[in-house]
Amino acid sequence: MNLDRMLPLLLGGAWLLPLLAFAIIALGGHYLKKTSSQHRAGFLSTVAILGSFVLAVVAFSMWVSDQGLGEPHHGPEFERAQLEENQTPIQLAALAEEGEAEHAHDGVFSVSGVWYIWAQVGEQKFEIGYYIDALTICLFVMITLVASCIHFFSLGYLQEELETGIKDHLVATSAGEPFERVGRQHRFFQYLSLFCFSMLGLVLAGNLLMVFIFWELVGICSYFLIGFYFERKAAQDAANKAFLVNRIGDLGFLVGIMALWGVLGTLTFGEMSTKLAELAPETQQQASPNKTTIQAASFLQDEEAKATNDEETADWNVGLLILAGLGIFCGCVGKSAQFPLHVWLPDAMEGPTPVSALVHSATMVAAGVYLVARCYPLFTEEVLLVIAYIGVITLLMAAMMALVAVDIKRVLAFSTISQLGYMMLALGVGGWSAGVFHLITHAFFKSLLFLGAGAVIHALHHEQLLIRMGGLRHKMPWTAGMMFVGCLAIAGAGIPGLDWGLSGYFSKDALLAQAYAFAQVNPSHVYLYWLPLAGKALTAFYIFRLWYLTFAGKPREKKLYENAHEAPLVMLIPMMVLTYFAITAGWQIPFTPSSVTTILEQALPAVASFETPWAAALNYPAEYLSHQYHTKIAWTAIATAGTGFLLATIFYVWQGLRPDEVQKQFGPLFRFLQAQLYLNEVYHFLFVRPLHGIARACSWIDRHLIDPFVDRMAKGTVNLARLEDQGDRKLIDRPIDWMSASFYDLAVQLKATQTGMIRQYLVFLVLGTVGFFFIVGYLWQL
Amino acid sequence: MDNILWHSVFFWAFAVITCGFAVMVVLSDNIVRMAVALIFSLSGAAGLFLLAGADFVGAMQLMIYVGGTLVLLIFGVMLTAQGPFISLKAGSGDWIIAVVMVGLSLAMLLPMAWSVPDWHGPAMGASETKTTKQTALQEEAEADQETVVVEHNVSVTEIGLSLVGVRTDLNQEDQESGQLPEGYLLPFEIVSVHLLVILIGAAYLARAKRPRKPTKYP
Amino acid sequence: MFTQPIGVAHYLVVGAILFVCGIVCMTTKRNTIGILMGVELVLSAAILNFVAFSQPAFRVDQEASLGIDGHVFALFAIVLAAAEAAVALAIALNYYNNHSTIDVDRAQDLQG
Repeated sequence: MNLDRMLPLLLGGAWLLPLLAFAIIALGGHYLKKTSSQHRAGFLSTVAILGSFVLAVVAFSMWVSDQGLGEPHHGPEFERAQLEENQTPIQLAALAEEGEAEHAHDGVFSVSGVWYIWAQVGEQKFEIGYYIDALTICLFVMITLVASCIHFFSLGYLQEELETGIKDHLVATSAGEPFERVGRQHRFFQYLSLFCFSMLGLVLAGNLLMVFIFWELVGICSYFLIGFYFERKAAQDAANKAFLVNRIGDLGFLVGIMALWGVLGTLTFGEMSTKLAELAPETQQQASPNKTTIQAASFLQDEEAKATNDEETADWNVGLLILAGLGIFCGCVGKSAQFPLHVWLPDAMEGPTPVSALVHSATMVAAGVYLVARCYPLFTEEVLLVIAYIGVITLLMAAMMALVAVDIKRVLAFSTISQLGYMMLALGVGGWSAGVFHLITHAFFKSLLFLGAGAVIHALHHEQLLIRMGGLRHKMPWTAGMMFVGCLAIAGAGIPGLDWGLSGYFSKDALLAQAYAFAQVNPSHVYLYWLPLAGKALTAFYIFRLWYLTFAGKPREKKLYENAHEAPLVMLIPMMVLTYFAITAGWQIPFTPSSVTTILEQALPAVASFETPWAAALNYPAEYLSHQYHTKIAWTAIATAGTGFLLATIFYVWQGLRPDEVQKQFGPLFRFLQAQLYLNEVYHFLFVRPLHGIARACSWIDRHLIDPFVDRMAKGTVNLARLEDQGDRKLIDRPIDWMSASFYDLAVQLKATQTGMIRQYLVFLVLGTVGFFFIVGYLWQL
Repeated sequence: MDNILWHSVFFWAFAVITCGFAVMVVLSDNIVRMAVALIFSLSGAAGLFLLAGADFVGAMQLMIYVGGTLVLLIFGVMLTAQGPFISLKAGSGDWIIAVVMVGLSLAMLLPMAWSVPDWHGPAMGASETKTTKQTALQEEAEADQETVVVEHNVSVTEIGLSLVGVRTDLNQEDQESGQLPEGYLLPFEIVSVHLLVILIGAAYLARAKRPRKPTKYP
Repeated sequence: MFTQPIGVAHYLVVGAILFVCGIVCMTTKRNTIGILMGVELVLSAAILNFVAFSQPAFRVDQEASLGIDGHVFALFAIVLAAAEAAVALAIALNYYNNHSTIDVDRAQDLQG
């Protein structure tokens, strides 16, 4: 089997199928809707994404049969090392070096190539290419699987969009009656297909420029989908906000791309590592003469290397590289809703729930994490540190905000931000595979949770407030059960002794272990471990708060409760599929020692961290080193999560503590959180208001400085025209009028000769002729 | 005493007939008489054509003018000559104008006619050339062998050929110089089509006008 | 008089007389048909001149001549005169039908 040939073909097909569906619906959606009583457009989209899924699975199996599943890094010597709990950091680092020599793999196996060159500037080419490695394949399978499920779910969820008259109770017309509009299911699926195409293209892209293009494409799809109910003011605002906030991040991204272009001269992923190696050969050789990469920079880095740092200070390439890293991360901050730019994601919940599940939790927002993972070799230590801290801030802040949110979808949105923060943290502390692994597991359980929320909202006729729900487990047992599984997964439930748990257990475990290992070797950054651990308790608390408020207890709104109903099968079955994966995604693949992590680790990039003078030397423990902490971390994590769960149960089931009392006690903090740290207001004050001021100033300048000038010009022109008009009338018209008048008079006088008498004419004729001849004859004789 | 040239005699006879009846046309007030006088005048003109060696043209003058046009005119006379319209007299002022015009025109035309010596006719005995005369009036020519007048008659064949584009009267050199003989095929065709159009138009103009029946609408 | 041979000039004189008669006829007749007759006279004069100029024997040098061209133009003139007569008669008849008169002095519709 030829991987080089087959993989681009399969994945390219999987990539283009949704585009085909999009094109058909976009061009013929009207007819698809008209000619069928059922959702033909929806089926088309669903079939397309299912086809993509099948192709992705085929590609995945080909990859596995060729490359294997990857080996776990738990060598026997590490089992032993695990026993020696109290090692000094120095020993650990030495161990790292030792292990590194063993694990120094010969680069990442990848399939890359070019489909089409769409521009050439000098020797530089801008290509439509692909870069396929284990990460690409895994993400393809994940995206197509989740997307297929959500397509099916949407068929049920958007059933009412097939009707011709839909009353939107959230939009009031001037008459005070609900706004009525035509259903537009085909449009929804059209955007969904376009989104799938863009997202797959983003993952498949072979260079950063292409990534940027698809980055923008998913952004515009997100815009369309958030604004699906564009008659609602809130949806309009949310769509605009998402788009504009993302612009800020994308600006940074663009700067990063340009900086990277300046440093490396290439944007192609396949060439980056070699170019990077060329860039700093000295440092690497001096630091570790026998290795091509500096993976896990040595704690004991000799003084020699530090001496050379001074020389390298002059090398502004490193500065540019840092700029590139920060810029690219800035794009990721926007797309993945990290701390300063996270404000758009909660508002984005105005879109239909399947959209929230697919775009705003599972795939698009994870694109930022994907990009960080993809560009991992580019990030210097400083950038990685920034990433880690941003991640921590985000995860903690979002988790706290989720505690006080009252809208079921907003809780999940904050939860998404928080989990994305976890992923960023993992990447920032060197846990590449942990971060990506969490990305995949999170996609499963978060989309499951969202779909559950969607089912609830569907059942309650678009009621989203948690305080009006309650007791729904009697009405919707399946949904309740599956959502409970999702809650357990996100909380990371598992049994550490047996090393058994749901998917979240494994991914969060790996993540926290990496943070712990990092904190061990870098004592000044110990908060990078403790804060995520605290965040875990918060996670468990807010997610079970959500579940209890929705499904447990007694119904708070009788009317809503009475009308609730279990979701139809077309919505339940996708949830079941996702439940299955939410449970098992972290498990070992039967009969092998491998799991999703090991497959992902096949794409583990070589970290080329440059020594720079600005940051204190950091040490990045290799990921496999952190495995020794797993058990210990697992117990701790389960304990914290259990605390969160217990607290939630006390609050909302046993009613041992009253939430409203707590609210009163911590009033200011509560309000602070509920207002999302007043960040929206701060942004409004910092950016929007000044912008309005500038706009007003521009308007004033326009009105008072430019307009008068233009007006005066216009007036002058009018006067000139008037003058010219007078000249026209007096100088030109008059002579012409006089001429025509005199001709008229002449004609009137000549008219008298026209007597109408034939015989008279004849006389004139003859006399004229004779006279003519006489005159000619007379002249002749002269 | 010279021999009497019978050609000249007949010319004068026909000239008198032609001019005399033409004056009669002018002077008569009765339309019917005018028509009769015109017939004789034109017939005399036909005689003059024959005398000038234009046999075919003379024949045509008789046939078309006298036989066709005048019949047409007489039709017109018959259709319109009713009561007061048979004789319409012009005022005497008109006559004065007419006389002035006659004077002026003749004062111009007659000197012109006599102004070119070449047009005075062949001088007697000036030319030695003797050729067989081919006049329409054979007997007259035979009786007067001494005249040096070389009559040139144009035959119908020549006219016919020239009408379809073949010129027999052009000399050989012109034809050898590459110039095609120029006939009258195109004017001939144009005239024939023109005639057709005119006849149709005349028939249309002169058709009897029937009062249109008012259309009744239900 | 009868002993002199005939030249072009004689014919031109006859033609001139015919022409003048035609002109006078046209100016003095108030009858439409009369005017037409005048036209015929004028045309006849013109044809006579054509024919006269095409006979070389009427010249002193016996050479300059219209030849066959004169005959052909004479024929055309005759034919066109006939056609003109037909049309003019048609016009005259219509005029008579419409105005119940044949007097051209009463046809003054074109007066300016």
